[in-house]
Amino acid sequence: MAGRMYAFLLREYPADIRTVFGEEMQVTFSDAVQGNANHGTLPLIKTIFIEFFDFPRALWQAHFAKKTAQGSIKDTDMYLNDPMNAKKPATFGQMIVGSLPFFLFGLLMILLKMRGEWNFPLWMDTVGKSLFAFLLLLPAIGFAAGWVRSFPRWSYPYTAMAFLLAWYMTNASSPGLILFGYPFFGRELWGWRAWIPLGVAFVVALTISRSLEPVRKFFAHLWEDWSIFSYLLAGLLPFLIMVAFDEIDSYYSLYFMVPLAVLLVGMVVLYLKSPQDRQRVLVLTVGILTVLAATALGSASYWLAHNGAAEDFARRSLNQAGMTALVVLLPAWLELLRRSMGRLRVI
Amino acid sequence: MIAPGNLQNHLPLTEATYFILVSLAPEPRHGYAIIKDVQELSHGRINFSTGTLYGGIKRLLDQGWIHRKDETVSDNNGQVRKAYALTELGRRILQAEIDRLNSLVSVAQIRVAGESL
Repeated sequence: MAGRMYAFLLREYPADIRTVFGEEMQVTFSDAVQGNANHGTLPLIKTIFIEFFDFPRALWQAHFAKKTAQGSIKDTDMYLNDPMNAKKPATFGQMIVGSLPFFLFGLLMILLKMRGEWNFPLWMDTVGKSLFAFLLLLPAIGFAAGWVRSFPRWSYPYTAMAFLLAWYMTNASSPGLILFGYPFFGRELWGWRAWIPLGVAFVVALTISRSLEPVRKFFAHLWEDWSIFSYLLAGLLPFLIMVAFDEIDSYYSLYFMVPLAVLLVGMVVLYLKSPQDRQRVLVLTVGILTVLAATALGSASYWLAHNGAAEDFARRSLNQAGMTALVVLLPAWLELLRRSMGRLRVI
Repeated sequence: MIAPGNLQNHLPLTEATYFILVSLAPEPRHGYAIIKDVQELSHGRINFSTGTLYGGIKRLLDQGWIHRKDETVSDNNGQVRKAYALTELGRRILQAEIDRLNSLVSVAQIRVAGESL
């Protein structure tokens, strides 16, 4: 059955490779399966797993391998020569840029919970609204900068935030947001206008780069290192926190907003500075689990104590947090698994 | 023909390319034999899938570092396996890489020995 599946998958290869190597590849696959079957079930499973797990990468290589004038094999060795996969931590500048949206969203989370009756000076209100307006633009700016730089690691959460913000604000209004007399559509829904920052970012980035190659690299990097997808999804955490603590008392929320903001920034800094993939996955796992657990427990505890919510509400909150953690962290864990199956080097 | 100086343009080899060339150095081998041999040579670190192996073989063929043997290996089931062997260019590339690695190791050994004295 494995042989039949393999023969079916072989049809996806380019015609020239199929013609020249197709029969040989089937024979080699059959040899590998039979050879490892003689050593037991586990080696056989490992062989089949490696074969099918590596199929998309090998297919990608076969279709899109670069051919330079010298035909250098090194040029097609994305795995070792691609700076995204270079085992080196982010520079100080990259760390600052990468952690900036988490820091500013963390600050916004804290400011939003500052009570109006605390009589803060008026300029703080202006600072808060300016920060909010800036944060509506920052993800799109980060997305454009990432595009121009061919999507380095730090840019992935920006991309997630930019798309999520645009989608969210489509059906949202900002009646209290008045900056220097400009009302930002008042009570009217933002609608299509929520997509303007992202659209402008797209146009600017495309004008500067004059190529869609960064888009290919965006997905190529994701394929080369699946943990980046988990890091991309981590960009959604500030929004999850704000939604979870919506309509919860400000005093109560502040006790969570401050440490959660610190946790998020710390996680991002450690992630970007970690040179090894195992360290990155560990940082993401600990950080995301802690943030989601604290958020779920914090909001569920409040509603249990103040609104007489039933215990199954708390259980549901924790289940949702668990499912969210699973979805966000699964790519990173699978990345560790595929690396542990042996270094699948591109040659 | 690549001049000796131009051999350096192709170095360093990736680990996987290096092991394939080493595997083919003593004798021609077919696909599965290369996979098994590289697995042994790398102490289990490098496990080729057929897709990756033949993608690499194609590139090595295009580079002229290996060639297909005219004769083929046939087993009792009548299945034919094509064997591959190093070309003269492939041997020179491999030797250049071995020389480079030896040079690196020698420098390190001299320095380490000097520090321990």
